[in-house]
Amino acid sequence: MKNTVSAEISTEKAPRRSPFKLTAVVFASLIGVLLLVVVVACYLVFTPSRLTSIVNKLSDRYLTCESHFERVDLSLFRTFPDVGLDIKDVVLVNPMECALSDTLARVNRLTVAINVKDYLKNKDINVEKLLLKGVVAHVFVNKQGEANYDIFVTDTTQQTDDTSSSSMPDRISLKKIHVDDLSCDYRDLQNGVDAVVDRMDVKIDGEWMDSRTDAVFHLQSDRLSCVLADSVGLEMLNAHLDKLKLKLTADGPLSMLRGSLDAVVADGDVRLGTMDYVTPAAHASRKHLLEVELPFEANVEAKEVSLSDAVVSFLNNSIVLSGHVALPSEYRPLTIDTHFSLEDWHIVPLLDVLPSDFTSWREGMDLDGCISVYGTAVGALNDTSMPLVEAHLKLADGVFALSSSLPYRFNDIASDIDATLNLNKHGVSKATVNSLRAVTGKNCLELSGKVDDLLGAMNIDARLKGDVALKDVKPILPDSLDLDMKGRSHIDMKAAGTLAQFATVDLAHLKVDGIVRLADLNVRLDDIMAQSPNLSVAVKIPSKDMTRQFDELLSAHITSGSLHAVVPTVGVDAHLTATDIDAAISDVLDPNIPFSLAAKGTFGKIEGRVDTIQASISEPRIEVEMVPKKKEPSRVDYKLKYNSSSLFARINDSLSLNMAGLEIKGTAHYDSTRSNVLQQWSPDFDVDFKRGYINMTQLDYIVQVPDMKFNYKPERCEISSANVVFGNSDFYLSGAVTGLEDWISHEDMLRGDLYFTSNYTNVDDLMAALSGLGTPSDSLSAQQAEVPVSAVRTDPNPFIVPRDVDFVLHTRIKECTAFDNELQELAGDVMVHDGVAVLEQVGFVCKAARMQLTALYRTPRINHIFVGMDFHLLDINISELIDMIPCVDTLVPMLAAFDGHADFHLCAETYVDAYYQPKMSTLRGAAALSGDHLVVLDNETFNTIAKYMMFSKRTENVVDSLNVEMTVFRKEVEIYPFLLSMDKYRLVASGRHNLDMNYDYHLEILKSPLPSRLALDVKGVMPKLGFSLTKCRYPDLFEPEKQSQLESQTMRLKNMIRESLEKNVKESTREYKGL
Amino acid sequence: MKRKLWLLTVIVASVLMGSCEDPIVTFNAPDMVGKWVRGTEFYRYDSNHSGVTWDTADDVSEQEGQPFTWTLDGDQLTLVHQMEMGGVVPKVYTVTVLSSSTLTYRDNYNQTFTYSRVR
Repeated sequence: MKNTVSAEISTEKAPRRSPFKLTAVVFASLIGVLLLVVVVACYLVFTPSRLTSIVNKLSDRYLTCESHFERVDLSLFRTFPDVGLDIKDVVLVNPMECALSDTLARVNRLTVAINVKDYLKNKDINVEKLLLKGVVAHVFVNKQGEANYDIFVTDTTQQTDDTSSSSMPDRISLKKIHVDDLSCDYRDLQNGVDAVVDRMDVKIDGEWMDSRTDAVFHLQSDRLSCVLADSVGLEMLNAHLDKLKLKLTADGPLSMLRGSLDAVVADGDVRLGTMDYVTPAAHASRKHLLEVELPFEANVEAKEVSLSDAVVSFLNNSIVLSGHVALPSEYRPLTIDTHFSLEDWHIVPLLDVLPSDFTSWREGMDLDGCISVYGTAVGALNDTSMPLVEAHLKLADGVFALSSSLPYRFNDIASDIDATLNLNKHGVSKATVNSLRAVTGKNCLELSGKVDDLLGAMNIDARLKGDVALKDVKPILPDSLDLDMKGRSHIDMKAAGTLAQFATVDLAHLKVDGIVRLADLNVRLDDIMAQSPNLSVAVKIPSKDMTRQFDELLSAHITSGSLHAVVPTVGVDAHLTATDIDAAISDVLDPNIPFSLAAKGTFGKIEGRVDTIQASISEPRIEVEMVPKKKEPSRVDYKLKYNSSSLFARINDSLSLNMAGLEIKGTAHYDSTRSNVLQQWSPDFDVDFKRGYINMTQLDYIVQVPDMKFNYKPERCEISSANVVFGNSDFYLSGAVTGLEDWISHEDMLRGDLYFTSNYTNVDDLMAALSGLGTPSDSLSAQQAEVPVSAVRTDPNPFIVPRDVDFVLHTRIKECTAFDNELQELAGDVMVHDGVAVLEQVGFVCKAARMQLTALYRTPRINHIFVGMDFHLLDINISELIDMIPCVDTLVPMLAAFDGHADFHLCAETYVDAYYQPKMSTLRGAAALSGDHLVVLDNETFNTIAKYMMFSKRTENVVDSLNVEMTVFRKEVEIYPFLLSMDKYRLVASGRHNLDMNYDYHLEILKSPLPSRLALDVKGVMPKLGFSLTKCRYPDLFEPEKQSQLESQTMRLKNMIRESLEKNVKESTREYKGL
Repeated sequence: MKRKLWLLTVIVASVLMGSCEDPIVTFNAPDMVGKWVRGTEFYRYDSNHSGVTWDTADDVSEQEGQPFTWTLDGDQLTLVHQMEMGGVVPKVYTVTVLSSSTLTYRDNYNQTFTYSRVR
């Protein structure tokens, strides 16, 4: 319809054509005819043969090599509307030695179209088209640097004179440059380059005008090869790129050029040295070897390029780049400000396509995961400056296993890491591990932290958290360690230090702060077993400085609600509750530093058993320090503080100890060069305990120690006070014990000087308790075995005096029971000296008399025990004396016949056997009795004597004075002659009787109312005594001037006996009135 | 009367008996030196006039013997047993035989002791 209308309009207006229009049509027709004439003229003038001749001539003029142009045609239609030359079969021949070919280049067809009008008018070279087809080139540079493409004639004169012609034209238009089917080889012997391009197509379409360009560059090649060799011909690089495609577009002014670079290398090989960088796996992946999509904006004048989401892919592993790059100029270095990212790079495929030399470390390793990296690179790049690179790395679904050295397979590895790379001088590179988590079996580990000075010392500040089954720890421990562990550990550990410090476990410089919480712990190390439902160990390096006594490496805080430890081989079984221990140790890894320890701990309760010893301690608090001397590590200083609210200990069923409170505070100085334990340790301790109870099976009672304080220093134990209730005995002890060190090593005796104060003491109990102390038990057993055993006797168990001890006990006892005798007001020294017990001149008062007793009890062996006494009874009540010491009646039978007070001195000794039976062959004794006004009791014997002596019935039975000396030798008791003055009579009596009561006595009257002296022998066995008259033996015994030799000797012996006895009486005893 | 006659008889007898005395015999002290035994009872006389005595029947050895000092004056042998406790027990004997093999003495109660020398 529209066409119809137009046709109608056209039909209506045709008859009214204007003259102007008509004139224009005619003028155009004339121009067309003129052009046709020009073209025809050109074809007629510029014939191919003519043009070919011209070109060949010109080539000879401008080219130094041999050239040949087969045919040159003028092209009007093929290059329309421009004028062009179409050249076929161009050959340039420039033979050189060692070149692959004499031919430099061969072009099947070359077409060039130039806008002649623009050039003539504006001097613009407007190459509208440059088309090459079928190009084969052989480019060669020899070792002298002479190239076979150096074929143009050099006209230096023209260059010098016409510098303007070399200046860049104002406009160059490259609308179309196509090179089809280019094959080229390039050999440069000087630089060792050997390259081949096969079947390359190059297309350039665009223009450059007024600092503005709009161009597209295409390049496509089946194969591009390049080989680089060093000066001696060794191959450095051998690269083949197959199916290369490249497209470069650029549009806009040079100050703001926009474009993109797209490139694809489908496949290829790159060998550097002997290493192939593109592996068979990469070929087999069938992915493009390299892909580049590079959109850019460039300021050519400023030499700056900006990228936006540029992608570079290697086998589909892409890196995305965005940012700005300023190329180096006179005023600045290369400067970049870019952001890069790579996402989801799978480790296994990536490693598989890398050269084996780069992945040899994977041998035996199972490594996988997916890596993503985001980051920036900002800064200048030149010889002195490097851009600052910041990156954020993420790893997901990671797997790591290295069976050869790590007995674990880590799964689900995930990490989140920030890194800063600053390669500038004084720049600090660092990495922050936000999280690195891995799972192995039922264990989970998580690492976080940061690494400063990443490229230097690598200062690491890390935190490790973990939840680990203890049984899984064993595989990393030495096989030689016989260890089983069960339970779980929760780890939260912070550590800081350099990489070298971590690698060398340099604990002296590392910083560690963390805690390990163990749950359901059940561990066995060799024969040591321990269980705890919860145990935590907090470690801090450097130490929180518990003490300044040594350089502390670390401090640890150990807590446990309950801990049970067992060592069956040594019978140890311990149970600790509410354990809270702080400990610090020195650098245990430095062999030059002696081990030092400081620890303090509190416990709710410690219950334990060591072999047959069982103990229970409530609320103990212990502080210990162990510090070796710096210059003499073998000498160690110890400090100890201990207190507990109660302590109970039991040894078998034989001994139990219960203390309400115990406090120990002191030091020790260990010196291994000393000989025995105490000398080695040199302890100095203050011990204070209260309300102690000691129960021993051999005692029928509990020994109570209401309180005791003592200090032990080397060589001296000072007992400040010790209250002891020993059965029904009580005593207060103070004083000092010395020489314990030498005593232990049997170098000297243990010496004591103690004050013993008591209200009541049972000596028998004490002797029973102290029996055998210091004598080796095996020696006692051997001696007991040698004792003849009687059927009616029990096992021999005499009191064995402690050996190697020298004790003096200064006693003050109100009441005392000794050998079933009750004594009062006892004061004196009790000495125990090397197996000898001595009651040294103890003065005391008993019911019978003031007494002084020196007793000696020595136990050289069980069946040979020495008992001796030096006994002085002053102002004695004879009858009570006999009650107190019945054996006195045996020794002095006539004593029972007297009543009154006398002085009695007795020195006796004997050895007894293990059953305390006297060995009669060893019995020795001497006694002296002296008294005045003694009453002779009216007994049967006296009456018989009085009858034979014809005493007056009125004779008073009172002895004016009595001095008797007697001796005991073995079974013989010998009474030396003594004088009895009674009434009108003076009698001499002497004699001897055996302990079997066989008497042989002699009586004679020195003075009587009778004119003759009478003597009487009394013989026989009690009570059947025989009496017979006999001659007088001692007529002048008590008259020194008349004494016979026998009488003189007798008196001398009497005096000898008496003096030997009385010389031991202390003056203080004579004046003793009691305490 | 009967008592007086008896008493007279005793007096006469006493006078007669008191008028008889044994002759004094002298022995050499060096002859005493040595070890003598009577049953299980041993004496050892040392040349320095000390000595020890022991009785093996009581499980006593020579080393455990008890000390004494001795003097021999004529035929009077005096042993002074020195007690550890300080007292002394003198014993006086009259030697009747002292040969290279036999030692015999008696005490004041006419008890005789005969010892053989231990070689």
